[in-house]
Amino acid sequence: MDSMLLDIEKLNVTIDTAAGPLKAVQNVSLRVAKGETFCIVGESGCGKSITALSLMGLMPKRAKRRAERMMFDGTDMTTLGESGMRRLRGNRISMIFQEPMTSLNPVFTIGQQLTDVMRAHSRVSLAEARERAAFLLNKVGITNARERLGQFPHELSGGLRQRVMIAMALMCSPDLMIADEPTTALDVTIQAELLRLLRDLQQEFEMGLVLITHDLGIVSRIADRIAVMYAGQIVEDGTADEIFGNPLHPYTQGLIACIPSPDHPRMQHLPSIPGTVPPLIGGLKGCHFRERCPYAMPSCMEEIELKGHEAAHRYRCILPAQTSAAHAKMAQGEQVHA
Amino acid sequence: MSDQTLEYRLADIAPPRRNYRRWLTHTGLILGGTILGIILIMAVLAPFIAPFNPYEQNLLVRIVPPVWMDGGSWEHPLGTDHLGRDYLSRLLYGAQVSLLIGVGTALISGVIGTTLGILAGYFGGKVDTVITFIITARLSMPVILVALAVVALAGSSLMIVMTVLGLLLWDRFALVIRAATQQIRNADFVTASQVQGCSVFQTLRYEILPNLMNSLVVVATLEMAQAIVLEAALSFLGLGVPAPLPSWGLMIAEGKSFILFDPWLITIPGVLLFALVLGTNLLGDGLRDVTAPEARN
Amino acid sequence: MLQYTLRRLASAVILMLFVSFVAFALVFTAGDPAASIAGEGGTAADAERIRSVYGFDRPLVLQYASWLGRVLQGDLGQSIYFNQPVTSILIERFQATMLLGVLALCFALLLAIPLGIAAGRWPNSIVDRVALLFAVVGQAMPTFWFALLLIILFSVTFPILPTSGGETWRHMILPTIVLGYFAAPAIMRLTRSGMIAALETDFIRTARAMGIPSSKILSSYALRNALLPVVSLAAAQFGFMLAGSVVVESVFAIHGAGRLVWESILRSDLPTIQALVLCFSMFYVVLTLVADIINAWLDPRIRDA
Repeated sequence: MDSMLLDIEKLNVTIDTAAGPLKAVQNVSLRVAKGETFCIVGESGCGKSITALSLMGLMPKRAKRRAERMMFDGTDMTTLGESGMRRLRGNRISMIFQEPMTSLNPVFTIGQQLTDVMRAHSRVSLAEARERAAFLLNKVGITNARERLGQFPHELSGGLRQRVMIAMALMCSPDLMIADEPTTALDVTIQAELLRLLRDLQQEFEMGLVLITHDLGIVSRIADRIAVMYAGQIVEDGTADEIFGNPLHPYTQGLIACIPSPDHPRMQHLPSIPGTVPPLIGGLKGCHFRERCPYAMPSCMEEIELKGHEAAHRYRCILPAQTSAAHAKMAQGEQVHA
Repeated sequence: MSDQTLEYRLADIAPPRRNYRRWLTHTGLILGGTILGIILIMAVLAPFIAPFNPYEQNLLVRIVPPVWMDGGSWEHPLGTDHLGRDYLSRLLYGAQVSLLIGVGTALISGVIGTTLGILAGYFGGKVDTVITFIITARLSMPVILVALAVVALAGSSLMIVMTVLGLLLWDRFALVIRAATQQIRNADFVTASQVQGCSVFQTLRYEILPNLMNSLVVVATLEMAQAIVLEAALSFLGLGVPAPLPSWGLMIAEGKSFILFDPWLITIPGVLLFALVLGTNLLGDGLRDVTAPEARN
Repeated sequence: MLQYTLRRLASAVILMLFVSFVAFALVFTAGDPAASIAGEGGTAADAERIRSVYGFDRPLVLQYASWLGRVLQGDLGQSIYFNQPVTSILIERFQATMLLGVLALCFALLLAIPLGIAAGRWPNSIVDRVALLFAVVGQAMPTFWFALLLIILFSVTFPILPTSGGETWRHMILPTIVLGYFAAPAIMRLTRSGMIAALETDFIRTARAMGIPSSKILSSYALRNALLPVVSLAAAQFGFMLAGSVVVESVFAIHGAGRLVWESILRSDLPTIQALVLCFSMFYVVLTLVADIINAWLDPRIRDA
């Protein structure tokens, strides 16, 4: 897989807690091609953010990372060490976060924070860096870019701050951008604008984009490929068409059913998946989803591997046939996005 | 899911930690409690275990060194001072003076500071503005200077030192209690009390005050330590408790003239004073860590 | 920024008026000033005469008003003991105290901030433990006793430093250490907790995700935020140290304002005491004012608030 930008095989992240090791990420494998949009979807607490942070080498203090393979554009990231990873971060891989209000340093100007990123990775003059910063602020839809450079974060709204974050992530023209719930904290209208912006920028800069979200609805517009995570594992992955058109895992089906759609505007009740993500302390045996699964049966206690064809569609469930039949029934009258 | 939500989730699923285990595993708390306990026992038992009357002078045995030094004897295990008074006995009674000052000051300043803090925190608005101004004004007046001046003018006695320090050291009570009250003012149980038609006084007395107890105990302990040091400093300057009362600070001042030849006259009461303040501070810090971490500032 | 400064300045002036009144009234409420001046040998008639000469029989507020009027013209009254204007005595005496205060503050900051940064950078490490020990001991050490211990050490064991007087820079070393160590623990602890809090923020995560070198994150991104509260504390500690000079100058026999406090109290020199309480309080008000303005300059959020 030479053309792959990011190639992760069996990533595991374990966090030490007072109550024992917490397996936050278990055997997650994912591949992102150049210029591709790859979405990781799942509820809060499924291990999406930890996965992203561990790709960047930014795990929380007590977390340990283990992986069979972590390749970025032909470089083995497991051998890089902290200084090598630092040169990659913000330069070839960059990341934006969920909390625009707190993600920018309150005591430095926007301009200083933007130029610092560029000057951390290349020998450019301050003037050149400011030029680039103003250009990018303009690019992410901020007017008066030059004035904004002199402003402090608290002078900007949440939406503007997230645009600044995006500009910061683009300072070094990265090959890959990881966006962790970039629009969750924002108003709905701004969410849509920002997503469109991200998609346009991705195409213009020919970046790979890993978009992490709990909202399958926003994924449908921009994803090339999707991985659905549940309780630290990937339970289903494949092309966006396959995931939306033929979801095989009951959890994915549940998530799709939860998308509010303009096609059925006044549903009496927006469906939801009953229950919550189980605690990951100790080891969960068998299918992690079985306690909330409507089709659970005794054999779900056994360990289940991902099945199917990697490039197209894989799923972690013993009952694809039955569940897909059930899904077909569920989908009657509810037009599903394809 | 950010790191932070992960942390919250960990807190949710981790089994509730048993409080007593934290009490027992907190080194500072244990150490501080032990030191303070020993000195408390010294103070209480002073009349029974002191070998001599702490005021009894014997000019024939002036400045006898402690037993481990040349010329020392078991008759005066810690030696005698420049007036031939038994040092051990004076030190034991001195513990009474320090603890009395500490507790008395903490009580007086606690009442003043808590009252102001609760009023400011509960009512907010203009009341808060005025009380905050008073606190700021109080902070602007240097404690040791004002205490010195007032004690000098009003005359020195144990009672006066205690009162003056009590009238000066309430600022931390007021600040901490004000912040704590602001936090619980809008809690459901307070609202419930108000809705049930309880008077403001009842709400403050029965709903707010009991919930401030943890913070109060912590601040009281730390203020006690401060009062003990200040009393010693005032007495050292000759303007604290009057001679011949056996205050450790006064004993250090009396030993100052002999600093070159008999430094133990200074080191021994100093070590006790240091241990008492250390123990009280450790206890206060420990209690805060265990019971009221929000009072940290 | 200008608007903030003006607003802050106005509140400082109100505070100064209030504090000066308290400083003035204190001397009168704590005892009978006329009797104090008359001394132990004075009769009731002496006290009565003093009362009318000094105007102590007028209402307190009137006395305050006329006193304040004179103070604003730089006249702090006449010292009873020295029989000189208090103002000129204070100007002379405060030189040593200010020098000592500034030296001690520098010593405290140079000691506490690097230690606090290291302790906050590596919590629960050996450095952190040592720093904690240093702080706990410092907070429990009575200043006057620490001063005496150093005198014992340097006059008896290592007689390399002078232990009394304030004539040369070598005389200032021990007092600086004593006073600085008194202020350092609180600054160290606040730096440490500020550093820990700053390193856990989202914006530090952002900086790391953008590949900012960790040395720069520590020394600039985190430190700037961690030190914001330290500025206010350092100002307050400076004020406390000036007051602490009462003890330290007495022990080391330094001819400063702190020692003058003690001497004036023993001499019942009321105008001087009053002026000293006023000056020390005013210093504190000015220091907190300066700290707030520095903070506003460092933290754009305060500036615009």
